[in-house]
Amino acid sequence: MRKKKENKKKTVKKISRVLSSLLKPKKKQKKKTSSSGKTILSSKKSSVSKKISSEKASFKVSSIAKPLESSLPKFDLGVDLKEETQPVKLPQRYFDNKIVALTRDPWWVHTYWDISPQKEAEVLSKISSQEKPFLKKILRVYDVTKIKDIGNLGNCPFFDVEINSLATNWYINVNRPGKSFCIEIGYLTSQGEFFALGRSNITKTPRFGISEELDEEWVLPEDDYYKILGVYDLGRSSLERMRALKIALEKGVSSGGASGLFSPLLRKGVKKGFFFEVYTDLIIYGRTHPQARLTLKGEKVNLKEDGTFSLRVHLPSGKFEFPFRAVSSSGEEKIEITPVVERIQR
Amino acid sequence: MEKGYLCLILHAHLPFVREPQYEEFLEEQWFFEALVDTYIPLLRVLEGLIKEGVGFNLTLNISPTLSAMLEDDFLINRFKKYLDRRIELSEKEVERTKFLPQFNRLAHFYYYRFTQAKKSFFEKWGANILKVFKDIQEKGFLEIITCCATHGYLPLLNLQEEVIKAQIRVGISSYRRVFGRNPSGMWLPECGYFEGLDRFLKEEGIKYFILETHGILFARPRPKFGVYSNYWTPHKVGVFGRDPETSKSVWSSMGGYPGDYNYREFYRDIGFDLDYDYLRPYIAPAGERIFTGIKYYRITGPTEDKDVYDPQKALDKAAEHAGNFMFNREHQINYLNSVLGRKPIIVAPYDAELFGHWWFEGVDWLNFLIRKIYFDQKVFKMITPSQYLKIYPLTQKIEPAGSSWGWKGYSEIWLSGENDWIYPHLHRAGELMAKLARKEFFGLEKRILNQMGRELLLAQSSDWPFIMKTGAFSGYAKKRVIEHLQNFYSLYYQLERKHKNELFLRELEDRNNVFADISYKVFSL
Repeated sequence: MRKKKENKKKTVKKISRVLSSLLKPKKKQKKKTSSSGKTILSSKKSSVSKKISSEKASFKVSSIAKPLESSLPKFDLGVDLKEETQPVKLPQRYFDNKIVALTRDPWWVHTYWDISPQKEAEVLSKISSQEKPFLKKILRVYDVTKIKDIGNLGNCPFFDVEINSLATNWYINVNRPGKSFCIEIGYLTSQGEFFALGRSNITKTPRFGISEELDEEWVLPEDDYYKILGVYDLGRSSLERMRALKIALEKGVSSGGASGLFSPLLRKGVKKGFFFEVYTDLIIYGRTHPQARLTLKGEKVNLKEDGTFSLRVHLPSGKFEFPFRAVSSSGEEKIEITPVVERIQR
Repeated sequence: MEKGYLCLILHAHLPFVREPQYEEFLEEQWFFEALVDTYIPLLRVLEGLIKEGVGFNLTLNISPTLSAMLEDDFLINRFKKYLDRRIELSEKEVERTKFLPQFNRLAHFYYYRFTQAKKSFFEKWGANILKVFKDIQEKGFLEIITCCATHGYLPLLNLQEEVIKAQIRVGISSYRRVFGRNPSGMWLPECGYFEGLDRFLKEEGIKYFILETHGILFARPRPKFGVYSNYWTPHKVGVFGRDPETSKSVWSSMGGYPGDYNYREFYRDIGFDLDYDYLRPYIAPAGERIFTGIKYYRITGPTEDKDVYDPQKALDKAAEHAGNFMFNREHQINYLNSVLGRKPIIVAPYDAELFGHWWFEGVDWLNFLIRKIYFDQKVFKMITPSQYLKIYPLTQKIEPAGSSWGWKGYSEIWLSGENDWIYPHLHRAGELMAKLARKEFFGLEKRILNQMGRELLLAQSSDWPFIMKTGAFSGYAKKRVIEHLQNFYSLYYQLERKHKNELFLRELEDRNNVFADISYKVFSL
């Protein structure tokens, strides 16, 4: 039995050791979040995201890419092939030349990328050496809403965002609800020539605002329609309505939902000033014969197997008597003891 | 004849937390607390209504991860221990508060609550409340719907179709196994919707889903009935929108019912008030003070000086609030009926854990509300989405707008500086899984693939980025994402290797044992 237990302990220890080793990179993450935690809530979204991405970048770039082995997949997981059960570390980089676009809301798109040094070198080799000192790393954001052939972005409207060359992700204020976007990362020369390192998936921002497109079969008179929208107290002009809707959403009138893990009901913040509280609990304990019957004010007090007992009561101000009575199991012997306790608060 | 309908939907979900490698694990208490505070009291209320012949129609989503935890003997055993310790603490409190009659009454109240919870759960229901919910569904009072496998937030996972499909398919198969039929509706995690998601739901046989208000209001073309009717999506799935008025009256931190001064104060708990040594056996294993569930004060007002809680007064208030809610619905429905030219449906979805856990009297409020609706008025009836779909099969077709019910209505909670680092990892793992699922595997290799599927799904829970964003417990959330992805890749290496380490596989199968019957093929097109 004992041996088994020990074994169990060992494995628990081992697992916890493994876990703690896994958690190491996490600590760095934690630092990062705590430093950005405060600022992210402020309205300066773009500067915050830049800050984060550059921090991340310096963390990631410092890890050196290992040469790829043929038995490994296309990215290095840093696994020790000898240690079979040792969990592999999550790769910090994948070097798979991917760039991905994700929609955050009708106005913002997030993008992350992971370009290999080989790819960088390959693209840079196409650029003349005179240009190199003046190169800018940019994200070219295409509005592909009306584009049919995604292979040809030649005539597609776009805008550029200059980025920190160490960044690995970015939040882009596209500011256009209901549109589709595709993002290329690459180098821009001073002559305005663009050399792409990679192209993202297409992502669509949600439509925002009440549609002006009406379905003949299903229409309500305009005045009635705005009345049934309920809590949204909307203005008359469409611009006014749009603004009101945005404010309603930002204030979370329509939200509040979240996981059941955290209180959706905001705690009403009350600032607690300097304070000092003192309470008293009284512990009364003792022992008698294990088979004896013990009472306090006539109420039975439970004895532990060895005949000891312990009571803990909150003690308000005042004088309190505790008349204990122990009676032997035969009922022939009785002992009474009454401690008296007085609590005075000045 | 009624003029409209109220559709109450409770969304019950917790992430899969099961840590058998530790003696005790703090985060497992989320599940135990939700059982004591919400699921058990709710079930008692529903049983009471049925016993007393009160008709009602309630919609309930039990998420697949919650369902898996409710089926898990290991966790149920730990729940028993948890309850025993709460009973022991409340017993001590009964004694300790001898000279404080107001507190003593409450100590008894908690002692009764914990012992009753234990009795109901283990004796009356045989530790299987899924079966009890299932029976109530079969009696026709309850419409239980499903959710995505691990509550993955779909708009940010939409890089591989296979991943979206797997989240939906496993949600459905888990439901089928537990409730013995196909789910009619699906609760989209966080109501997260992107254009085109309806096609996936259609393909898997889902009949309807619910969106946040603006998911419907911003639809194209303009939705004639606002959020007060069903619609068809382009792929002909039924869709409903959340009513903002009912959500505000319950959710709002200002003016919402739960903030009433007579209700119990959640944040004042003996776990933070009493002597440390006295509490030590009942707080976190590592020794930090935590909520014990024993709370003696009422909200009182915007002050730290709290008055003692009076359960009777709070109960009276819950009844009053239920009456107020019903009265407002009567007016709302009368009005909407006159304008819309059809019987409106008021869709009111809430997190189930709001009732009982965060809003202590919420379950009583529900109880009063359902009874009042049944006995005290004739303007509206309760209804489930499936029942309403049958009344208006002919309705407008719209393309809903991308949206969620999270803060600010979109994806910001799950995509921000605190948590955006998870997506490069999740997306690559999804890509690898989809690639592997195109091949055929047998025997041990098949088991490895199935476990890779479980680990990936667990890593995809929307709960982890959510927790990272909100701060508390973020260390644990990060650990979970990293750990599941590392398990995923470790298994992948086993697959590549001639001599597979079955012990390692079995260890993961035992520990992360969610979705016992999963097939990696759910990740194929």
